[in-house]
Amino acid sequence: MFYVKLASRNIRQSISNFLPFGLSSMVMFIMNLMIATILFSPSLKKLQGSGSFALLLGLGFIVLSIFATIFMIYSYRFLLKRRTKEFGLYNILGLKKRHIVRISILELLMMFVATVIAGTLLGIILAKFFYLILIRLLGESYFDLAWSPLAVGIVTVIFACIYLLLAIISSLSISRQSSLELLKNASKGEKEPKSRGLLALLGIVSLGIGYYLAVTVTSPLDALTKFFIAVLFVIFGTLLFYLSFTIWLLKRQKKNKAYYYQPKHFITVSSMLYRMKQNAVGLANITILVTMTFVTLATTVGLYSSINGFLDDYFVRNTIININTTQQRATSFIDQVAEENGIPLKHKISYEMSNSMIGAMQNGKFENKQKLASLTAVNFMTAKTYETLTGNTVHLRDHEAIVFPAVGSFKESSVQFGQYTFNIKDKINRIRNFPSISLTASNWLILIVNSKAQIQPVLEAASKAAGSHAAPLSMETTISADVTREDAKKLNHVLSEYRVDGLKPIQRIDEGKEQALSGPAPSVISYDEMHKQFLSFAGGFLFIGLVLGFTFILGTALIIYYKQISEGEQDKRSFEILQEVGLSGAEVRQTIRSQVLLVFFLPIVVAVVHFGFAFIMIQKLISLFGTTRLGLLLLTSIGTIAVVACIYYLIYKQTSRAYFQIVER
Amino acid sequence: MLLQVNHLQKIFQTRFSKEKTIALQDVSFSVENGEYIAIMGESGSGKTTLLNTLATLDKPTSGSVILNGQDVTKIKENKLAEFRRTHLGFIFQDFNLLDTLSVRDNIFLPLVLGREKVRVMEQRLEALAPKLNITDLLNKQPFELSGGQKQRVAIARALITEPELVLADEPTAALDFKNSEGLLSLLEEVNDTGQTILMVTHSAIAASHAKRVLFIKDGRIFHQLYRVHRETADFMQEVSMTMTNLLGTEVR
Repeated sequence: MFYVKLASRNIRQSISNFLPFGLSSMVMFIMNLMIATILFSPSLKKLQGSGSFALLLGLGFIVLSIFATIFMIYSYRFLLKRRTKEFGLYNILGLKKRHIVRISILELLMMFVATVIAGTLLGIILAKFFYLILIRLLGESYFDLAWSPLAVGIVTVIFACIYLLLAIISSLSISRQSSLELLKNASKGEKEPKSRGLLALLGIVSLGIGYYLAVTVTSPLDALTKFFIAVLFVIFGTLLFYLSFTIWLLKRQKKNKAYYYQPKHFITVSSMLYRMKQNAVGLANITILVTMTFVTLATTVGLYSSINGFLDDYFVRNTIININTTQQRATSFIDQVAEENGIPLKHKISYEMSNSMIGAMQNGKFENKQKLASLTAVNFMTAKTYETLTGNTVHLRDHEAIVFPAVGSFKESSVQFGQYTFNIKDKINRIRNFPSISLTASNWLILIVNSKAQIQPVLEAASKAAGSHAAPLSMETTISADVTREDAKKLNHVLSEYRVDGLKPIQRIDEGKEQALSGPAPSVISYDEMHKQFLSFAGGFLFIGLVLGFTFILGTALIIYYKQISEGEQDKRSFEILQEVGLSGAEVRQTIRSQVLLVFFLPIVVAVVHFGFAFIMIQKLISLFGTTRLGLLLLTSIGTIAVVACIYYLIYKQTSRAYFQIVER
Repeated sequence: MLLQVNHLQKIFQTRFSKEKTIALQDVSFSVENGEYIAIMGESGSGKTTLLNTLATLDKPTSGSVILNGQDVTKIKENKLAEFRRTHLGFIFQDFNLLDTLSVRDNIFLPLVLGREKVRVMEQRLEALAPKLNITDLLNKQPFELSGGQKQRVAIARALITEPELVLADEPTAALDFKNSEGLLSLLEEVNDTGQTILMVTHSAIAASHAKRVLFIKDGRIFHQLYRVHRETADFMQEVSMTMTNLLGTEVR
């Protein structure tokens, strides 16, 4: 009982030490609980596309849990460091280390219970609020979220594990140190850091590799695989960069006497240099968190805001029907079905292309390989089709082609398919009445050639290469038209009973008859349907992005706060001495400001540079879901950065006040 | 006359009580150029308040402190730091060296704040370092030094601005006997070059190295003694006796 009293008294008396830790614990708990509540809520299943969204939420939950663990450890170590002196005193006054460990574990237990109780209450309220936002983002209209004991249970268990980890850390660090060490821990001298050329080189190389990976991404799928590798390189590089490069820079500044021995630079450079090791880790953490916030928010906001643009690019008319046969047969079939069912097809556009050939396109050479980095879908179109679509006349010789790289780029002067080679006569940026993006993740290339006579041998060779079990490649037809929502549904239903396979007769499935029908059913996709699907996906993505972004910003705030507090305490004595030796109050403030400003700007600048490179990847990644609108993405990114930078600045200003309050008498 | 202290009075009053504490009461004395004065008293006698007032770190309730014809109590707040930097040198009992700076930069600190040229700083240090026997220490960090070494560095920092008056606040308090002795004779040597020093101490040994000792109790100057060519040991006897007799306290 005595220990319980002591522990609770400790928390109450040094509340200023416990508050940041308690807050971070609580916020992490609430964020986790919110996601978990939504994830385990039965009403989630009623949402459209709940499957993919639940997956996203689950992923977000895992990321948040990992983040919470790292963050709580960081926060707790800070608390522990500030209390070593107190523990040392207990030790000298006669408490055994075992007892001190018991006290600190009791303190943790109390914090845990407080976190769970307050966090559950606040979390449930906030979950409702966030769910409302989510529903709006998904474009749904009903609202019904019940609190789930399962979610509370799971989050509580996760946090119990985290606190157990903290208890282990605490008992290890207390029992490892002698009482004298415990007492003296706060005031340890540090040797001026050596600038390590090798580490600097390694850091720059690591950053270079990360950036290079980002810049050289060729297709959306390539971006997806390289993204995480690039992230790892950049994180590693950032840490090394701060550890070595900044120390090197400061030492160079110090060597320049005319620069160094000026009041402003003198104190800033020397104290930054003195602290650079601990600073480097802190700055790297802040930079990585800020970059993560940028990337998460910019990606999700960009994705969400580009849905409409993407759909406009894809849907030439509001409904698209795809039939696996020639244009002539397809149109007459569809016209017949439409007429039978009384469905008017307005503003009809139809065109035929070859089936997609999917393989690797490298240096103008197409190969039947599944290589992610250069995966490309190729469709052939005849000059005649092109002319009817656009109204432009083209004259092509037999071995010539016009290339339209709808997704990706094409720079070569010829394109080769096995033994067949086409010289590129022209490259175009768009085709009228034709989608300018694809629904698949790979690059997309359309080749316009003189006639079917040129396409046929290429398709045959490709079919042969693919093997006997694969369906032979031939022509397919796309019909776009404006159809009302009900009619589109009806059409879809009717068409789903048919099977179309090239030049074989179009067959209808008869009820009750065993039939061996080949070929796929004609596909019907409508703008509205697609829009809903995209919205639920992108909306879910945006929601996760917002929650993670918010948590990352909070994490940043807390790290900056800790940094300011601990540095303020270290600097307090220095500034007292400086004032006694003859630095005026105004000069003190000016010095602090320039020091603070540097620490403020460095992470933001580095994070923006990181983001600049990540942007190339993000752009590719988003084009996986479909945007090619660079301007819009750039705008949303800049907007996101501006907003985050503003929040960051506010945090900095607020925490700087804490620093000033400590330093100034 | 370098320094003239006239009828100095300092009254502390806490904000919430009417009770007043008189820390200094009608303190007057003067210091000639090149003097080495010790102000001696026990803790609570007002000696630190007196030093802080002379150092412009604290304002007196009434009275004046005139250094080279300028009343330091009238200097505006925003000019004080500059005044301290250019006219006064400080030696503190706990050295007050900045951990973030190397020994050399600690000594340069006041000059850097005064925007002195690098060449001038180096010249002055070159002349000063051998006298204080710190040439080998210049490239080290303060936490690598012993107490005695730290105090010698602090003296170098106080002297490098070539101040009119060096104020020392219990400079030997944090040192052992041997280091104290070394430091006190070093201060004597510094004084022999013509540097005026004013030291505040409660130690008779430290005081006996000065040329003149002022005794302070309850905020008043009670008595003064001149050393006049005596050995420190003899002088210490008298200082110690005076302390015992006049102030009613036993001192080492």
